[in-house]
Amino acid sequence: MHLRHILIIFTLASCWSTVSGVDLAEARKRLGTPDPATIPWPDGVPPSQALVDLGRTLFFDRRLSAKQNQSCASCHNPELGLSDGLALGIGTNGNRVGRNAPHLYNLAWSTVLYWDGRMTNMDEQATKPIQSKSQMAMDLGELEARLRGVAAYRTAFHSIFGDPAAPADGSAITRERLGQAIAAFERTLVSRDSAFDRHLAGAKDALMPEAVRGLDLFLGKANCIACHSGPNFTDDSFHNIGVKSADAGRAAIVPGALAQNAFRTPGLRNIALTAPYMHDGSIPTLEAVVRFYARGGDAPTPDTLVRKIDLSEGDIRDLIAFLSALSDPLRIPIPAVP
Amino acid sequence: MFTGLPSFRSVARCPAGGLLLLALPVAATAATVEGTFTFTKLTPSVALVYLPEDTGALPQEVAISHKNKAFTPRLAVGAPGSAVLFRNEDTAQYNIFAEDKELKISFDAGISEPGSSVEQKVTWPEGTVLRCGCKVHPAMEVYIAALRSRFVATVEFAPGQKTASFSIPDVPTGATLVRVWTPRQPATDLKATPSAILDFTHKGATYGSVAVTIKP
Ligand code: HEC
Ligand code: HEC
Repeated sequence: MHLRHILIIFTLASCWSTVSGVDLAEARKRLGTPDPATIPWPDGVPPSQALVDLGRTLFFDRRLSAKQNQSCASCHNPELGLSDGLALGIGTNGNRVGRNAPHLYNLAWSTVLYWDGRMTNMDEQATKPIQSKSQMAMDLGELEARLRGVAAYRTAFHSIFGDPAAPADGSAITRERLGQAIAAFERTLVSRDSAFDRHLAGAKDALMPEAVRGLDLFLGKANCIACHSGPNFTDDSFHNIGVKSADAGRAAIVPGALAQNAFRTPGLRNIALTAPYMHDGSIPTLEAVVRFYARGGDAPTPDTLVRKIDLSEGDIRDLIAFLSALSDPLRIPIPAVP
Repeated sequence: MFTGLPSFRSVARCPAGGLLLLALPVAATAATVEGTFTFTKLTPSVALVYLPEDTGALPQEVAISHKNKAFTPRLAVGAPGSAVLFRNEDTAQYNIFAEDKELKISFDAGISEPGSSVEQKVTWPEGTVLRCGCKVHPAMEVYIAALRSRFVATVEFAPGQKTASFSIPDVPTGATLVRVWTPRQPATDLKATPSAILDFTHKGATYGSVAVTIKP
């Protein structure tokens, strides 16, 4: 009886123990499950379901590309973790794009978009890939005309944006509203029911022991939390972690020593689904990512958060187990494109 | 300008902590500006309220610290010529900068190591507000208002906060002109005689307001 009490106390104490001077219980508070009630909606309130549905349809519509051969979902494919499985994706004209297609999970909270953060407004961002020569290479004026030729879009845009007294003649279809609709859909891509979230909610058997040890490493010795923090595992900041690459990254937007070769910290939700990794897709697997961090990166960096980490083979396995426990692939209904 | 107001009298809070010698008539008493911001949505990060007619503030040192990807304070005020001192109180590195084409300000403090400080003079015009940030922590922002007014209230909203009250004590009796600024809209003047209300609108819809009263 006494022994048992002592054991319980001992176990509790070891839960709260520190790894390399880090208070793990305290560090845990720097992660969490995202709360959709805190999404900063552009109008201060959530969009209508009709707008989200319209955005979803547009996201899957190949009319958005010049050759009508790819949609947003070609490169942000729900079956591939809202990415494309390629190091560098392929545009409407069969060309390679310049960077790895990021996943789009939990971007609703993001204060910056793209690997270099050159955009901040998701409504405005949504029409950029359409116009990008290397991506969908489509003129927005032409696209408006193309969509006005589709009865279902005339009706949908009219009923959401149009004057009820006016006819649904397609005049309600504009590039700004197109962006608004797609962004409204993108903000609903919230992943928040992974094994890790169930663990946080108190489910005792949600995480394998390997993943629990991996979490402790993530917070402690490996110090991944220094950058991958918050409910979406990103500090929404830019770091040069020492990926060998000629890409200036953030410095092309705001030149500066710390911005040189720095990229936005990607969120890690569903990360096991979105290989290959990094802005150039140069690291093929999670194992290779963890080994990359263990050796302190491949190129010199002024960022003092990047350093060699002494990880055993077991530690590497445990970190991968934890990263894989962040998976909650959303079931995204594939719309019938008109 | 207040110089045109014969009844100007104030036991002003001197933000500079220095000595203020004012030619003040003896008889006047002080009033207080009081007010409340209320937002239904789209609460701004900060708000500034001041009496634009006063010109008594002197250059001073304005301390702004940064830690955990945030500035403290998030809205600072300094008379033109003041020295703004950015202090890195974190264990992480920062790269403080400002880039404002309209105000013609472009400064890059470079890598700021933990514990270090950098200084920037308030060189932008009186009555304007400069936004400073960090090149690698884009969510960080601090607004620095160049004001000669000594009668200023700064308000900082926490995420989700809907209302905030403020007061500016010891303002000169007879003052009625109050200026309100938030990052989302240009500075707006109110005549508080003794009260006034300003609505904040976005796409034609009101999302908040500020009510201001000057109490004798
Ligand atoms: C040809 C492949 C391709 C297509 C098609 C494509 N994207 Fe992308 N997307 C990318 C790449 C590559 C990036 C990263 C570019 C960069 O950071 O410079 C990206 C970035 C993004 C981002 C920023 C994500 C982040 O984490 O910052 C969003 C949002 C996005 N795309 C939405 C869309 C939408 C909406 C469409 C359709 C209108 C679309 N994409 C079509 C390849 C594509
Ligand atoms: C100094 C900040 C920092 C630290 C510490 C850090 N990361 Fe990263 N992480 C980043 C940045 C920035 C990128 C993108 C870099 C690039 O593309 O060049 C990234 C990319 C990744 C990716 C690939 C994501 C994708 O979508 O391609 C994974 C996985 C990852 N980190 C996991 C970890 C793990 C595990 C740790 C701890 C061992 C860790 N990170 C520590 C900043 C950091």
